[in-house]
Amino acid sequence: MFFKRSIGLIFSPYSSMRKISLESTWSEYIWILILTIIYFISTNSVHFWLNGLSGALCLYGGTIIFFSLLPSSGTIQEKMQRLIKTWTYTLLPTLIWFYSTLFFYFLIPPPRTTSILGQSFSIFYIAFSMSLLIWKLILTYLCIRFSLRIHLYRVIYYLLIYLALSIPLWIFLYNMGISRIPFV
Amino acid sequence: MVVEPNDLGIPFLTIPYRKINVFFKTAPFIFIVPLSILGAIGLVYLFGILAVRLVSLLQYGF
Repeated sequence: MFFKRSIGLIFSPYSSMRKISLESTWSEYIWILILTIIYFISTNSVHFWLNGLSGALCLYGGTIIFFSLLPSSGTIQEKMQRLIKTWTYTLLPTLIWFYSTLFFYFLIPPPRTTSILGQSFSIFYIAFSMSLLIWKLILTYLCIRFSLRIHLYRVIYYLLIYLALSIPLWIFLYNMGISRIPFV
Repeated sequence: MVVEPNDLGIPFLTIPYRKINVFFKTAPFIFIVPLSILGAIGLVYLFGILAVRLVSLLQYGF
């Protein structure tokens, strides 16, 4: 079911995210958790994985609590249940990006140069990252829309508040050496 | 119905919003991938070495 929903989020994100907010089961999320733990363990040689994993879990929990407390339809508990379902699936592009970055780090180690090959790889890597970022933004928008059941303007307003609070936290995590790119 | 359809207040905004929205509801990668490739080429062309440094920064980012 997890793989079916993941494929659904690629080809029809709107209807898939709506279904996830309504009828997904808790057992589906174990795959995301396993993939996240495997990712952080596999970076063991580069960073202290426990710091990264605890940072990611704090960001995940903090995000769900933050959006649950914002005014919208439903009780805090209902919103939290829907958010856990949908926000977990928005971690898919994040996981794909981090896994591929890890892969490229060992395949073509940085730093990049301004040679033709270096620039070609830079174009490919930026395009790849932008695609995943746009997909992530679509999923995030749908997650908030279906979990809190609010309209476009309010989704944008809530996202701006979220970013205003999160960016200083991401900088703090960067300065503490926990994560360079936030795992959200 | 889980949520009401979005209404941006004025038809001048709502109509184009709904037309654009259709592309992102089903198979968004048909539009996302070409847009990203064009954006990446534009970034490397405009910012040159800065874009290449950004890639190095992102590659160290995990």
